[in-house]
Amino acid sequence: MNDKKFEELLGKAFEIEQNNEVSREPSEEELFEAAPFGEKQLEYVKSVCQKDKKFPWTKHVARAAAILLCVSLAGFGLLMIDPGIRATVGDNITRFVDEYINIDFSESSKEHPVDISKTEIGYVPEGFELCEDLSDDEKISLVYADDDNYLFIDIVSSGEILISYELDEHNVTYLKINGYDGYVTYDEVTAQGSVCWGNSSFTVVISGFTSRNELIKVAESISFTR
Amino acid sequence: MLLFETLLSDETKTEKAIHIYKSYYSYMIYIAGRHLSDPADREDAAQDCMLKLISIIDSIDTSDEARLKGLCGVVTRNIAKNICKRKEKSNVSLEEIFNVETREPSPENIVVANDTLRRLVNAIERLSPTYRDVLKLKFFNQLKEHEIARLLDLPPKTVNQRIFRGKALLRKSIEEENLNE
Repeated sequence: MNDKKFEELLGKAFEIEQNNEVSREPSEEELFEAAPFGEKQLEYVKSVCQKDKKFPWTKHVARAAAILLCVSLAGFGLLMIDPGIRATVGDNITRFVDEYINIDFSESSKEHPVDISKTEIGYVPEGFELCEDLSDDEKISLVYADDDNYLFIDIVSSGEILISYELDEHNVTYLKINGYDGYVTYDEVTAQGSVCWGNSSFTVVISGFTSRNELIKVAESISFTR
Repeated sequence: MLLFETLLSDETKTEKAIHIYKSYYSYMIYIAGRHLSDPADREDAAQDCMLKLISIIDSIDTSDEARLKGLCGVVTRNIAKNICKRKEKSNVSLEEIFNVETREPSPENIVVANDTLRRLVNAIERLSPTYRDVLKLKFFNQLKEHEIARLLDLPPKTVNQRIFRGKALLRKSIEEENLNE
């Protein structure tokens, strides 16, 4: 029997139980005779009700507050129709709720400027094949996939790309990739992670569903022909 | 408009409260009498019950007398038990207070067409009042958890737990009865 049916049956069962209980009790006349309702009791209930409405202004304040809240919520809802405001609010809420680490390589070493058009990828994990190439003059954007998983490689010719990692979910560690500053993050539960590195002239981000070691291996295989 | 609404609702509430107290005062005293021997304590229990009912008066449907009586019974019993616990007084028999005998259930009330329903009624009557009262207020009086919590002086979490456990106990009880038959 599902829960809803059981609860319906329970309501009926309690109705019967109540009737049974009433049938075991004295009649109303007998009860009234034993404990009659008199003036004293009437005065009591009136005084309690009177006391209850002694400060009606509190009710007005509560109602006014409720109306104000509804109006504010409606106004907020209307504002949220605008995608720009929605994005700003969402961003601020996210920043407020979660703790982030922000990474950019703009202050990193200015030596060895890199030309990303001469990128070579020496290694991709076994089974992964290139399935999408969204590269253009300013960036390299490649998607590799095997049967179930994806691997994304993004390279941009700027060190001022802001990368945010949520500290709660990921373990962010610093490392050197081919002599450049880099960070690796990996979530054991979802078995996904990313590696990013760069300097003031480029940023590389590799992310996907593969092991931490494989991600680092792919990262280390990327070279830029000078 | 707001002022008018407030005044109107207050008048209706007072009438509702007087109706409840007038109709069930004697019953509240009777229920309290099962646990309390001192007439002053019984009066206190009835008054406390009325105070609690006033606190959720908007949710009380006065047109259904059976449900209202059940509600008064559960709340008064709970208050009386609490007073009894506080004062550590011994129970007193009904005969002593009312000079009336406790009646056996009448046969027509025990005969229930649906077998599962019959088993459920039996299980409810065997169930500890701790769970029975909460389940009755929830499924018979259709009250919300926070209203039950207010009436029985319990934290809302406890009310939820008792509803959950009470339902599980009843299910188990009727299943065991099915197996035995």
